[in-house]
Amino acid sequence: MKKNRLLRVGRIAAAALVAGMVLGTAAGDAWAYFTTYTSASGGYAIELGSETRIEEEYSDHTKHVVVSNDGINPVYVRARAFSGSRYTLSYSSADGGWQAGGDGYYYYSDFLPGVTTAEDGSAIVAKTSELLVRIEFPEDAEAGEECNVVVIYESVPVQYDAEGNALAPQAADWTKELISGGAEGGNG
Amino acid sequence: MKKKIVTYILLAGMLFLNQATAHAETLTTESNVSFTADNELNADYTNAEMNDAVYNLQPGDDITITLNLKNDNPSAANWYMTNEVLQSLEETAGSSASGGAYEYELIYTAPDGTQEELFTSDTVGGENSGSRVGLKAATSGLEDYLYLDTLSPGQQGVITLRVALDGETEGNAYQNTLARLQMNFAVDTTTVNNRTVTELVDENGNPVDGNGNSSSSATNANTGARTGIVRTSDENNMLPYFVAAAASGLLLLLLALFGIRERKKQKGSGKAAALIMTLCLVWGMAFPAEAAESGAGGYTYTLRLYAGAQGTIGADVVQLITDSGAQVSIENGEVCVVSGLHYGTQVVFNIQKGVSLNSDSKYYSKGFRVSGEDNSSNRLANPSVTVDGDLDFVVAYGIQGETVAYTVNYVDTAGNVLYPSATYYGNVGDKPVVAYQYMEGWQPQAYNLGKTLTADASENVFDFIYTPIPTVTNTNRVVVPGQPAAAEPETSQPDTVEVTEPSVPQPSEEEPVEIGENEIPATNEPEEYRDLDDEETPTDNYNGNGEDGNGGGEEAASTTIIEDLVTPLALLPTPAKVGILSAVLVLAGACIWLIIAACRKGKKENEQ
Amino acid sequence: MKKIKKIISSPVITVAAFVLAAGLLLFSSIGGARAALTYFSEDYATNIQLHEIGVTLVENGQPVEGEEGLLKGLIPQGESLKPGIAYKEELNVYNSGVINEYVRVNIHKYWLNEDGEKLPALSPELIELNLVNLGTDWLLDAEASTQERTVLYYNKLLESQGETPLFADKLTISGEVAARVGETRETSGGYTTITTVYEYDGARFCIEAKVDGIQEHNAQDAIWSSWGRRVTVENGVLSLN
Repeated sequence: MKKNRLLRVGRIAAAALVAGMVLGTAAGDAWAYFTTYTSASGGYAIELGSETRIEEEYSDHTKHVVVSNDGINPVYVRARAFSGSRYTLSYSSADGGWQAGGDGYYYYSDFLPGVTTAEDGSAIVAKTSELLVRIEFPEDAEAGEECNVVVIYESVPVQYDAEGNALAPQAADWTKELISGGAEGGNG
Repeated sequence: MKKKIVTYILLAGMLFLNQATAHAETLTTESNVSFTADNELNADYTNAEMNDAVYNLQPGDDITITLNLKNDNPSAANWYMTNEVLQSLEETAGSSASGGAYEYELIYTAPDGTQEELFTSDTVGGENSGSRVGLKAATSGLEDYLYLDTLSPGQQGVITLRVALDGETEGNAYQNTLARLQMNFAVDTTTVNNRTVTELVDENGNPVDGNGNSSSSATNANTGARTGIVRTSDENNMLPYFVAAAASGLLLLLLALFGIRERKKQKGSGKAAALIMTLCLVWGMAFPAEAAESGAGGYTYTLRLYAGAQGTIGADVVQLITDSGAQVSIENGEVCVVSGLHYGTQVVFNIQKGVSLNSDSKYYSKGFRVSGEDNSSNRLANPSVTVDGDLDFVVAYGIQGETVAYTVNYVDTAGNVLYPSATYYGNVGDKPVVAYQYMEGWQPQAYNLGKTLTADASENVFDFIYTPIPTVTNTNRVVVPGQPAAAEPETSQPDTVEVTEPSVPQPSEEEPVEIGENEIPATNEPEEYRDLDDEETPTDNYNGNGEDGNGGGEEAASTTIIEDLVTPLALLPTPAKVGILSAVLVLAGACIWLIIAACRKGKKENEQ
Repeated sequence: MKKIKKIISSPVITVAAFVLAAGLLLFSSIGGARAALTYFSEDYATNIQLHEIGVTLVENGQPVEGEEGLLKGLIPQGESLKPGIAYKEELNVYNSGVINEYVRVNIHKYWLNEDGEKLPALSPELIELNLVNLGTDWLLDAEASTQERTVLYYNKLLESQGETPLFADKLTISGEVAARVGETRETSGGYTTITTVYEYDGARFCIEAKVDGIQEHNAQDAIWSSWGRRVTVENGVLSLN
């Protein structure tokens, strides 16, 4: 208690000391020199959700191949078919939409836009025109002989040059192919 | 009486200046004041000119004002000056500037080249909670006329005032601030110089003295002995008031002493002595009340902590890294680079341990901040950093003011000490941010705590309150074939899950620490930062360090009352203070009159 | 007389007398050494003023600031961002303060998920901001730069109301974002369906540009103290140590 009292007297004295002074300043945060900064940020989401699908029908020794784009991004499409050496394959398209690329692939000359929504709310899915792959059976082929033809297709998102122009499908970098698929089957 | 004259060698002075402000921009200005033959003090500046002149400075700059004082009067003259800071930068309306330090030098150079330091300090202002704001602290003793020198006809003295703005402590808050300094000069002609001297000459005009031997000449007054500071005043004659005040004061003192003696006689009590002691304490308070001691991915990030200009960094600066793959390197003590940090890693820096100040530094390290972001926040960066990018920090320094201790406790919810408490020191008014200590199996309520320091060290407590992190233990029971299985079924048991709590890491003998009611620890994820200033402190529950609660309360109340009175008194302008003093004088007179009247009355009654 | 003594010896009077005595004696001592002066000079007053510092980031000629303040007009309306395209993104700095200053720029590039959380596994290098005027006007601080962060110092003094040359002119999101894929294969009947997962699909790239300004006077010390970096400033030219 004695200590308390002494302490109290000391405090009163200290408080009285303040009376002799003018005013106290709050010691604030002091930083070094004049500096300033400003910042801005921004960005965009990347949508790459391309999804392509292959449909094919076989009739009259010919595969009718159609590729559709169910994704939202535009894609390039290319396709080729493989068969045994006994059979030769010939490619054609009714509207000339498929072009030989010189590398065994046939490139769809336009890109397939992503899915859009029609006024009635239904989805509009872009499709390629038909690529016709005709299987030529050799003359010694027996009736009912089966052959196995595999159609491979690949798609890649549309690529642009620095000016924003879409590249030609053949000029795109297909080493970055994203979606590939295959269909096999066929008989004579 | 000879007073102390400090003489500097010019070179030494220059060295001092260079050392103090390397690379500083220096502004200089020079003017002349002369005492003319027409008994006028002429200056080559005018009030209006000086009021218009504004020196644009930036932190770290300094300004040197040179004033040549010349005596062109045929008589020797005593020169006096005042120097006053009319407004410090901190007092600019609308500005929140505070805590900045200044260097302030006022030097008089006599005609013979000796220099007299009227005031010099390289830590004016700073984070002091003193009575005078910023620059004003420098001129407390210079605001009344002080004697400079006696200059003989034709002699010249020089006043040099140098003000430097400390770059390290004057930051963005000092933008758009204005300070006003003023100097005034006065002279009086010495009595010696004004006296009439009669020369005796012989018929040829040759001087002779009274004894017919030697000549006499007018005494030139420059004795050179009148150095030091003498207080002088303006022309208002206050003498009668002072005499009256002194007389009344003495009378009242006698009266009081008489009263005490009488009471002693009557009661023999010693209370009056205590009263005198208290008054003495109040009166003789020349001593200030000082504190006891002055991601998950492959990309990794890099944190850099730069030491800045006032210290060096050692390896101790890194207290904790939760990423074992991280590398720490200290480069020349200038920067600590922590690299290889994955996203989400926690790094805790310890500035107190890891930063050494340059020798004889007037600064102290107060924490660190994001490089370049001085104006972004009013507080320091968290010492516990959760990595989410490449980031640079710089150590922040302040100038020591009124230091006070603060304690960091690491306890569990029951108050058991989990880790030894740490004590650090900071300035009153500082807001340090402290980091938690990592303890396996425990988590604090926040990784960083911030709090504004008060003069009372017992209030400067940062409690990290830890709660156990619940641990889920999966137990697979497999029954070994061939062993007696008792009543157990033979199939393996479903997994059981037990939640266990970690044990107290260091069973401590220390007394449990009391935890404030408001500091309810978080049971979920710890906060990144918690501001303890925002939490209301239940004062009635607060017992400090086991002190008697009632006594403390009473003490606090009495202090508060005095402080409540003191503040408005202190803020009063001088005229108001004079008014109060006059009222006191009137009261004193009234008292004396009352006593005399009472005496007379008593006499009359006795006579009757 | 006894009555007077009684009055005088009362504690109230004693205390009052002490207080008054103290006050009066103190007042009387104030001017003890005062004397009269004869001639006075005019006031010599000096004003010391500290002015404001300011800095503004300029994007394609427009001042920008804050979150989402940048890249607002990057893509024409109605279009979506196409990887591989170099979009116009001209960035420079304007001194909007009263005092001259030195400036530096911190550019952070990173990827965020839908919730705004950082995706440190995605490469900042695929966000290609084409830096210009390097070496001539802007110095790359290689020590402080990482894949995610680029630090550039403007090597000259930027005067009040002045503008720096550009430090960036184009932004391209590399076409490689489309190449970072994971695959799953599913065979059903005669068809094999390969589903690809795009690592960058749905990720949001973010560019953050922070400009620091610092006072002209004592810039070398100020940069050391405030930014931590050791530089040399000579005759208004800044170089990195």
